[in-house]
Amino acid sequence: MNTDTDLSTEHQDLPTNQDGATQAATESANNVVQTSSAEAIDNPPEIPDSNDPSKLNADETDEQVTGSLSGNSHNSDFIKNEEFKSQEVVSIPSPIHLDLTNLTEENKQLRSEVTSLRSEVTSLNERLAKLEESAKFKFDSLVKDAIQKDDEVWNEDNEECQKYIAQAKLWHSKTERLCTFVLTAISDCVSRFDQCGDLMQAINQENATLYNSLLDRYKSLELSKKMLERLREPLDLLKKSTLPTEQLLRLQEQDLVDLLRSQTDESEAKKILAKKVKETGDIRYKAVREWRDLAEKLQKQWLNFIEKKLLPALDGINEGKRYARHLASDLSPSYPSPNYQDKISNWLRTYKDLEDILLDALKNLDVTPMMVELGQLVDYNLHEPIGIEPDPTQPHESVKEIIRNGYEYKLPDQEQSLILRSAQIIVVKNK
Amino acid sequence: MADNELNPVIGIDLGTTFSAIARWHEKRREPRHYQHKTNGDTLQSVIYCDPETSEILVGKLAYKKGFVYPENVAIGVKRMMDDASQVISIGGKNFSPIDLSAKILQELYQDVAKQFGDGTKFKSRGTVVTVPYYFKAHQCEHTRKAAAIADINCIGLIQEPIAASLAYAWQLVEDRPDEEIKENILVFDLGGGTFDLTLFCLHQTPGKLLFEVLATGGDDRLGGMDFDECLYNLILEKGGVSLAGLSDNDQKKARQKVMEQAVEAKITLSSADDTYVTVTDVIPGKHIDIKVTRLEFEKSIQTYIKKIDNIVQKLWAVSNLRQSDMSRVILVGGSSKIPCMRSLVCDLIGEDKVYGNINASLCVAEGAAMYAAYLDDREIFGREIEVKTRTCHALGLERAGGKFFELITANQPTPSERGQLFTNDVDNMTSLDINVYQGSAPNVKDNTLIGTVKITDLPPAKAESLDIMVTFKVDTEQNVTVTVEINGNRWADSFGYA
Repeated sequence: MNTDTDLSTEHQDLPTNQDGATQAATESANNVVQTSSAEAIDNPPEIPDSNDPSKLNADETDEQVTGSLSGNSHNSDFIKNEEFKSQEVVSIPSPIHLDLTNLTEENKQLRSEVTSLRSEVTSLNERLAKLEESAKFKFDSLVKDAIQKDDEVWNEDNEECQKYIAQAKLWHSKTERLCTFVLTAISDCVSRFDQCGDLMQAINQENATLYNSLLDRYKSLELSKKMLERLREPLDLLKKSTLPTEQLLRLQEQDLVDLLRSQTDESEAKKILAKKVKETGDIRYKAVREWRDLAEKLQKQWLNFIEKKLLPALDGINEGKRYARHLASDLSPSYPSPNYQDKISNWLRTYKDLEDILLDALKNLDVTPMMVELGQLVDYNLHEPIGIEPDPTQPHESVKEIIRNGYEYKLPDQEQSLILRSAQIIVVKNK
Repeated sequence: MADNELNPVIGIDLGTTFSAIARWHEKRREPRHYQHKTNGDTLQSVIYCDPETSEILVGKLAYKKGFVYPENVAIGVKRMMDDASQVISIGGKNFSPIDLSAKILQELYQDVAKQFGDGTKFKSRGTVVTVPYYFKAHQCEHTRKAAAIADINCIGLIQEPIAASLAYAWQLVEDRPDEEIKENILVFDLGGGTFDLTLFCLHQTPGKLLFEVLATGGDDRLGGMDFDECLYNLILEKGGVSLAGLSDNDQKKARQKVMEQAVEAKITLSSADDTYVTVTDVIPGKHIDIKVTRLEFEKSIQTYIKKIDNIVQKLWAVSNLRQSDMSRVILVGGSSKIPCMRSLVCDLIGEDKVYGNINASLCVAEGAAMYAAYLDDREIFGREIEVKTRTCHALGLERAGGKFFELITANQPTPSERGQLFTNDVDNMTSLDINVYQGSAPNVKDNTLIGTVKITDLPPAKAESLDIMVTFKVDTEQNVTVTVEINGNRWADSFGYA
């Protein structure tokens, strides 16, 4: 059975489940509301207030109204009623017809005063009505202007903010990827380190000389392992970063109307609105700034983590690999048996395996090692010389030695790579 | 005054080790720094001249090339701005400190211009360049000349500590525009290579924003690089590694590795109590894996902490202020983030008084951009900005017998002027040298000679018969003008002093 149909049927069935009286009352209430709405347009002060208990009582019996007016002058309902009445100043009472034939002089005088006062009241009411009309018009237009002004600035702020939001989201998602890939890589590396550790133990039991020859390299590997394991905590912290709300504050017409409710002076109203527009703009732009700062922070955090935390661990592995380059041939005379070659090769493969795991993680983050060839001319944009050495066999100002790999990274929709870290080199200087 | 990205007002922080550039965003009413295309937020104040092509490089690239060819590179040019006649030879060419400063300004400016097409469309309608508080008039003039050579429309200069505090002043003006406010503010600027301390009173009235400098101090050879060196040595010592006996290149390689970790550890220790420093194969087979605590780091830089503390205490004593008289501390420069450095002022003045709403590395450039906005539109702060300075030392002349006669006291508000009548001590004196000194020791030999006014062709006169009127006048840029008047004849000369 379709759920929508079910709901619809139940809804339609509802009145038949109620008694007739309730239904009638509902219809009646609906009519009252409609009538009230219609009246409100023509004559606002006379809207019956269904929430006002005194009004509801008045509909029931006239006696209760009389009692209420005379006897319950301190009743809060009465006070409400009085307030309501006081708003009726614009409605002019119908003229009173008096019998002038029996009037005394005193009465005539009173009559004249009444006429005069009535005329005055009429004139004041007309003036007040005009003023109110005029004030109402001016404030409406001021409020509209303020809203329009705020809308314009909101559009600009929003446009700018969307740019920062996009950047922040990009770096936030890159940070999430960083955490995922690097944490996985650390676990994989730790397993590989442990395999190497097991191998070390086996070698130690079989051949102490070989073990001692490998110990220096193994210690460096252990340090790289420690360096990687220490990254888990900062990565867990990075994982917890969240993005703020994207909603930008916007002025609401009703807020401004409320703000000017007790205002009659136009210049004062203008000042109040200008202040409110500025305040709203300032608060809103603070949020824009927060997004801007966040985007910048996330980007720096991402770059800093890779450059200052992850790459030093990889550098240690790279360097260890360089130092271990000749280890296999150096150690071969000490092999207890020919098949030991495989064991040592397996041990030495630790470097490559670890490199592969970490480089793979970096690749997933769009970070790649810089291609630097020995003998190539130095590119100062990419290379950072940290030493010089003469070498007549090499061209002047060429790369003599790579001390530390450089890395580049790519951003979506950008063809050119950006430098994450320069490659440190020794430069040939023959002049 | 419409916000225009192609014609903004600009502020440039021309620093000793790093420089930065920012603009004023009219619509947002805030300064914004520009990122250099290849150098990031700040540009290294390093200049390289290629001997073959005469091409000039500035920043990181210059630094890298300078490593291979140190003879072609110039660093710390700002320290040479005192004497513009100095010749700096790099890449086989001669430059004055003004020329080289112009190259830094040009690189900053042109890099921004190139962010808007080919660079020809961008033209700042006014740029303000910062100078250290102690820069004298001629050094300021040299800075202006450098801006002119760089084809920058320099509409003014502003002292670095004042620039750094403008963001705070702006906030006061925005939050409490109608109030009269008087606040004592201390700017603690600890950069890579220099330390400057400036205490001033910020007085906001309906018509004026007055910065009255009350006292200054500092050391132009002390900064974050000294701390890096200390931590580097500590790491080697704790790690049990010595680089002695290594070849030059091996030593450089090892130093580079350890120094990078030292700088990283210093940054971490600004917010953490301890950190690991791990360097594999510092030299093949020698590894470092140690834990360094903040306490150990602070102990390693104890000499510098004491130096800085002495400068802070001296300034505090001169100011004659109580803790309750101080309203704000503004921390500038990367090394001001080091907790023990921060404590030196915060223990004295109160942690709650640190104004944290600024970027310690960029606030000087941003403040300069705000000042440029003010010079462009004097109504922007709703009042006039005025800076009142004070003399750094006592000034006087040499009397008979090598005695020092003080005319202007130290810490005197400037401009300041004082005249004193002297007479001749010998008969028929034909010439007279008025030796001008800075310092306050009773004998001139213990003070510093800053110049001499030479008086010749004096008419024959008996001893003690001549009226020699000597007037010292110190302007706001720390120049002293000495005027000597004898029998209606006048001699005058101007000197700068430190």
